[in-house]
Amino acid sequence: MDWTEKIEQKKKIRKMAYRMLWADFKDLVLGWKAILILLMYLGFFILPYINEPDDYNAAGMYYFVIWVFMSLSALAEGSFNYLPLSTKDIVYYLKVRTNHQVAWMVLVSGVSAIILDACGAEIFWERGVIILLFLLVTVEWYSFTALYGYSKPEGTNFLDDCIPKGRKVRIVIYNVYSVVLLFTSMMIGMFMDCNEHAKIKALVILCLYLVMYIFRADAANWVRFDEHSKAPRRSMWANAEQLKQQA
Amino acid sequence: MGVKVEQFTKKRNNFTLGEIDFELPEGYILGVVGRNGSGKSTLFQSMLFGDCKDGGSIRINGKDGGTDGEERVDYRRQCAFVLEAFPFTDTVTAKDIGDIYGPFYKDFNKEKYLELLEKLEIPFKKRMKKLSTGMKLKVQMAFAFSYDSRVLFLDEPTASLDSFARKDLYQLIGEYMERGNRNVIWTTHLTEELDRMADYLLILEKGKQVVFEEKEALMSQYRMVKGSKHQLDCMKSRLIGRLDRETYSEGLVKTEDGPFPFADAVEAPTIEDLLCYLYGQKKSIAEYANIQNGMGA
Repeated sequence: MDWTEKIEQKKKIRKMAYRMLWADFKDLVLGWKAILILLMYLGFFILPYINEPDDYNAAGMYYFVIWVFMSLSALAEGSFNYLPLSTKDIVYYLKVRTNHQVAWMVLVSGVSAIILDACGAEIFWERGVIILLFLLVTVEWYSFTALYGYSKPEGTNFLDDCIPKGRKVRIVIYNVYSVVLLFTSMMIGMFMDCNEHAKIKALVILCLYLVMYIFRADAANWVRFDEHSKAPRRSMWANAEQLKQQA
Repeated sequence: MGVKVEQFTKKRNNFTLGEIDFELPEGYILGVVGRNGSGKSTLFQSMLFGDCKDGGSIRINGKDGGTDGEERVDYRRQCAFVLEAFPFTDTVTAKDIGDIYGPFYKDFNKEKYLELLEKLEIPFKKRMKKLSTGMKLKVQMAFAFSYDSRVLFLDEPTASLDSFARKDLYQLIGEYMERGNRNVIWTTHLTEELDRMADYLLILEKGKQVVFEEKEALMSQYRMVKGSKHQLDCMKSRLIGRLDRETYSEGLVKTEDGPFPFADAVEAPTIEDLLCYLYGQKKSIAEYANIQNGMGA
């Protein structure tokens, strides 16, 4: 494959990721699940909040509903076990998909905040950051779980195939860490009084989230892209430049 | 160049497949048969993935799928597949499958794909999860025959197909093989299909390769003899396996042990006969190997 073909391959993978996301979005947003979620949203948050603006449980439900919604959207992933894709391609696919899911979450949270604001709620700025961070943690967790647990049929594991044995401990630590962080942020969001020290709590979760992000950013390096080469990865642009120079 | 598998092994939990060793020349259909749990699916998926990390090599048209990266991409581009379990995402429509997955294959012919969808009467706009298992298989068929592959992998493709779709599949396989440089690797429990279509047979038993041989050559080594119980008793020492019914008895013998003047009828066996009588009598692989080597039952 020359570098133009590599760019083409990346374009195809991006297209696949967009199409899959769109299909999942249609499936969720235009389907019965979405109606259910909307009803839950109205029933559990908006209506009680309008009646009792100080009800923290209602805010917790908002948080829960968003979590359910986004978790559902995170469930589906592309099927590419048999496709002509290398490990590197699959990692790229997951990256594109994850980034878009983060964008969606921000969008959903933003829209929800506007709705809340329109309803006269004041909780967004108190809880919003924590909620957003929680969502980011969810998607990070999902993204790495997809990378970690991407299983081929009949139990052949991406982890076994592509990640050197010495790195597996780090991956397990990462996964445990991300699950703990996920539930901690959920507990804070749902059950704790976020009006008090909300900014500090948000900051703590932000720091924890950043550690998680660094873990994930490093994760690509844990994956053994080429069994026969331990050389660091080069970007396709760097390769293109090299080819030009060689020419 | 065809398909070449050399000293291939695969370890999976408590199961080890291999060593598998065979070379399938271009232009032939290979039937892979064996009991449930004999390793057919493991071998099949390893070949489809090009996964050789436990040892050995798998080459299609000289290309090795064992190395990740571009080699794996090139390897997999040569493979087409119709699998029992639907391999694509099911939140999209049949048309979307062509749009999303098709571009990853060289020479993917979208018009042909749509034409086949129409011919197989698949609704374009229905999402996969709304379609029946048989319909999903047809979508896979349409996809598999819409690009230029070298090997077609069929994993129990006909189990959920109606007889019309089955006929379509046989016709498409016939057209696929017409070019002469392609192969089909087919696993099925419906061995009648392999009786009709396969050129070579690979028999697996408990993860081991028992036989890889040209089908006609293998079948010509055996004969089914039929007659009364008493008649078969007279040939007892030459019977590899037998089945006694109320009205008549039948058994499998080696052709070279003939003639069989006591038998009422001497017929060519089917693959099912071969499998049932060789394995149905609970013969060990070692015993079977002795039979193969002409050392008698």
